[in-house]
Amino acid sequence: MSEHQSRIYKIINEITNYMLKAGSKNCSISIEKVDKSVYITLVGRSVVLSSNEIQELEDALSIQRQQPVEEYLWELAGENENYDELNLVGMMIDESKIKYDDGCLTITVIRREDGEV
Amino acid sequence: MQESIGVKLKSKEGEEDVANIIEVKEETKYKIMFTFGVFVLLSSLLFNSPSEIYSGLLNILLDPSILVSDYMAIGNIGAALFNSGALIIIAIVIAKINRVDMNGTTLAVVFTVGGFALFGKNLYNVWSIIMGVYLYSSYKKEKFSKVILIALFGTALAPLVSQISFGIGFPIVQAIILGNIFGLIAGFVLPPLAQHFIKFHQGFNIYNMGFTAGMVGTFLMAILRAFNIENEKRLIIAEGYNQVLSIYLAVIFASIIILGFVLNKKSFNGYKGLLKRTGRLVQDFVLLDGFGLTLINMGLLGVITTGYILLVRGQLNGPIIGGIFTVVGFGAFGKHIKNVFPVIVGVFLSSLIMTWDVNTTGPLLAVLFGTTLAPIAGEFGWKAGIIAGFLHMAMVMNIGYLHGGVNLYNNGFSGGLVAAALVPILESLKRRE
Repeated sequence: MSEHQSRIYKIINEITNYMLKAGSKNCSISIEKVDKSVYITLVGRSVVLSSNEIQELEDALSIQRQQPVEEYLWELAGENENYDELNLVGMMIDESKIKYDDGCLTITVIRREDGEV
Repeated sequence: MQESIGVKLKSKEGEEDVANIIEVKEETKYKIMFTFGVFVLLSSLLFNSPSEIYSGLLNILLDPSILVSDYMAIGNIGAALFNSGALIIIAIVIAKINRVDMNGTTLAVVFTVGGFALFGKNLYNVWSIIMGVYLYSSYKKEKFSKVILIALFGTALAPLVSQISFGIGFPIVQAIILGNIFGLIAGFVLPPLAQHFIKFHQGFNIYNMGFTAGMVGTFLMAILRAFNIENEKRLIIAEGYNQVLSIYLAVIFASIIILGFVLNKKSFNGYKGLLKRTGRLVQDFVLLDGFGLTLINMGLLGVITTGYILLVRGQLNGPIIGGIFTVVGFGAFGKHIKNVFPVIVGVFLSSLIMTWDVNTTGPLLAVLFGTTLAPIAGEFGWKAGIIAGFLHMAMVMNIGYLHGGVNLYNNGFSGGLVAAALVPILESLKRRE
């Protein structure tokens, strides 16, 4: 798919912004390609989030993938540090996993190149 | 904080509630929207006989349709509603065939197509633009379903096809061919431009396609002007139907609210939460708050905007009802009664001191479509919303010339410019605080 990599950068930008806003002092990013899927994992340490904020994060990233919306608005993701576009990231990915333990926030998102509509 | 939250896989449709919203099946949502389309279509018979609708529809199909062409005046009320209902059904069928979810954006695009089918989009002029977007998706080897929103919103440029076909005096066959070639070109370039221009206004102009279509229309109109082809200014509107049309709209919006109330488990629960959203793109109320609650919001927006028109003694006609339908549609994707209000006040106040009368067509359309800037009020507060409305009023009355009236979303074009100029200033002031 065209701009597939650009969209991955956008997703990473958005989640990195989230990590930094949440107070992360140490953040690592890993990208793994398996067949037509990309696994993006961000680990932030010293993150301070309430249960409500974690719930909101889960809710945003668990929105079903919406390819028509992605195709129309994907360039907005990760564009401005003042606003979050996690809802849009949720619409651009196929699966998400979130783990928050002792101030360590791990977010894994999986994006398939073809997606499904 | 010592807290551990385990792994959670993203759910497939129907397996899990997102944000504890009340889920409604896709099939049910489609049936509701389809019923709405059929209602609008058949309601045409309440106003005119089948033969009148037929002759009115012919007038509509052969009209240049540039801004402002009220199909209720060019054809008749029945023909305009028939055209609107037919295009609503077509939009829904296209979405269904392409297996697109009936979420906030789909609701918005269906209502937008239906609304503008009362003053600019018709059963003739939308196809080449949709086909142009389809050709783009084929060229990129992508599924058409991915660009379906752009295809349907992109019919903003439908008057370009009609104007060249019937408005510039070329021999009819050559004119129709040329008009549709322009439509294909416009449709073909819309997807990459729509994606790109969203960054220009940072998602604060809800009618992103309005800005995109404004830019494309400006370029194409400049080409036509280079060959000495000019569009004359137009203002054809129907008047004198307030009583019957306000009853018609009241029935529609009351039904939408009641239906939303029932689907939201006979409650308004959650609506306060919806009102807290800024409305900035991308906030899909169907996905975030549920279908029932979204319908309630849409119906309330319909009541408020219709009430405003009647309050200032404006005329309900094709363009105005088109504007109301569009606001209602975007009640599923960014607009709610709290964030549109300051912008409406801003446009209203500006029309009191500017050169235009508050209840004439231009200012009324500016009030309705100016709500494209609702996210500015949602993000920066009511004062910013009023300023946005004020600037929008001045801007929107000046930019129609650029695209010669071929971009139906003139207010979206203006909204993009206002948002792009205003948001950086508001952001910088916010930081200083």
